[in-house]
Amino acid sequence: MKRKDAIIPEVKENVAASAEAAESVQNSAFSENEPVKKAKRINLDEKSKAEITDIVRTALVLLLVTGITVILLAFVNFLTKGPIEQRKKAELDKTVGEMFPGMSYKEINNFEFDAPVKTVYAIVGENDEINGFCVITVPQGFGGDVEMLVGLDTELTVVKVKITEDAETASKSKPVKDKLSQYESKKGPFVFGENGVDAVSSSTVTSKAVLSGVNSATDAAEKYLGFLRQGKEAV
Amino acid sequence: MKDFFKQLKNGFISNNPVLIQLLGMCSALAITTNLKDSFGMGVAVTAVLICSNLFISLLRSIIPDKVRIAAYIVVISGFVTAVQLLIKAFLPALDKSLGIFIPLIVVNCIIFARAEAFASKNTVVKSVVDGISMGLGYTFAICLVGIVREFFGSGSILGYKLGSFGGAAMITTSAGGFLALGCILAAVRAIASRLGKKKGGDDK
Repeated sequence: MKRKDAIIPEVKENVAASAEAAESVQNSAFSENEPVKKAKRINLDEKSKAEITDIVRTALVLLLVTGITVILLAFVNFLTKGPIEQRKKAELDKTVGEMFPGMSYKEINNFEFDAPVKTVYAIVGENDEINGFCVITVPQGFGGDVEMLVGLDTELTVVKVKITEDAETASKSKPVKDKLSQYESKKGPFVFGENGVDAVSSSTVTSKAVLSGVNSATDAAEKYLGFLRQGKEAV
Repeated sequence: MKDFFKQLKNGFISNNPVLIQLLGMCSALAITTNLKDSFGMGVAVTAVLICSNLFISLLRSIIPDKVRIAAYIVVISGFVTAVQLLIKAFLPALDKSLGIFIPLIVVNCIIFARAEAFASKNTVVKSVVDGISMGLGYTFAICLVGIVREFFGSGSILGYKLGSFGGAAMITTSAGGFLALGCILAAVRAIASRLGKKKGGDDK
């Protein structure tokens, strides 16, 4: 009983004291705000300001260097864009000439092709009739895209398969490139182990990429022929 | 003029980036299967070296020390991309044979090493000369490897068959490249040390 009486006033005192302390802190946070802030601002002026200027200057220099480099690069890009496109077209002309001698080609713009087919060219004869297709398809290989050119005739028989760009390991892609003729004069869709079409051992991923590319090409051409048969206008 | 020739000799022989400094080894192994590709690569690297040395030397007082690596890489990759575009437009055969190794010039240690060790601390003229000399030294070294690998691997030089040599097809693989480069390095060191003894240890 005695203790309780002794404690309670002590507790009351402590509570009161802590309440006072809390209040004083609150007061100082609000009323003594200005002096506290002023003290902080002085610190910023002396040391931190120099640091901030340093950082900003560094960033600006990097921006300047990158900006100049980008401008120069844009200029070179502008210079070389024309010749690069000309070369690509010349190569395409040559390849189409190999597959379909004496014919010209037109890009098919009025039909949407599914990936990985990128562009389809219709091989047109003298009277604008379609004699075949040249499909540019870009399946995924081991090291990235494998850009392929697949020539098909109107029966969807493969005329020729060519790989124009790839990022495959050279030792893996070479045997596959040497075996591209296995698709010629055959009709898709192709499956390994049938119709004389086989993957190259230890170049599985590249072989599969080529297979999927050829299949996507025959698929695209078939879809387009179906679209034409529905009575819509040809290219 | 004397300084110019001294610097040239430095880059070509006494401080050859591939044979003495042992920099840029990846490209020295990867594209040296024949002489034509080696020479093309050498020219591309020399062009990038000269341009990047020039620019980095010009900007050496502006670029702060903290971000110098980032700045060098921006400059070097800018020039490599420009060279790549020019090769794609005007030398498509070289583009096909060098392929992915053209953009890899960005990480060719030689260019970065010369930027850091020389161009950032010397005048523009000296840096350009350094770029020329290191580039020529590099071209010389990889053409040497290219000649050896093409001759013993395919029995030809620049595509022209010379009798019935060649047939050591292994030398055109990566492993063969290591062996060829190793033997060439050993030979160069042997010759250099013998010349050094004769001169009495005159040059670096």
